[in-house]
Amino acid sequence: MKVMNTEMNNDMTCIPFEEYIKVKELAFAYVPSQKICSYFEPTESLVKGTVFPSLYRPYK
Amino acid sequence: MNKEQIMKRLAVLDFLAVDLQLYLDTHPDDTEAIDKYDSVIKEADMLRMKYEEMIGPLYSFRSANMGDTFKWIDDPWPWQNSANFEINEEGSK
Repeated sequence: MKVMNTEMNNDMTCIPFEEYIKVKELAFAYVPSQKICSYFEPTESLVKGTVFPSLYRPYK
Repeated sequence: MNKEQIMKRLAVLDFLAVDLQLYLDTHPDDTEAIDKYDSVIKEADMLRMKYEEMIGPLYSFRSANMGDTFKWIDDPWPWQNSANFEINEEGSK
């Protein structure tokens, strides 16, 4: 059973990821599946270039 | 809604449809994202129909002409300024 836990980071965009990493072999690259839990507003997402808050990283 | 508002809203909706589709490729069972995707597609289709009835063809190869002259060749052409618009910082409201 895949347990998805969500953690809220500083700007309140939650970054859900799997509780455990199934793959435990040596030197095996693994990208945990991440489910989206919040969305930008339609017009805001076009201006920001993504509808997923966790992907929005303006260069400061 | 006037022409510019419809065009801006279509730009927003098409962008959303692509972004959600990319997400759904890898998360096909995320029902919340599917519902959002469906509402975006429905609204965009409705707006496209409204635009084509009110103003003219949006596509050269899939817009009904509804007239006895081929409207696609009328001004403005897609690359002309009057056929385009700005998406400003606070969004395209």
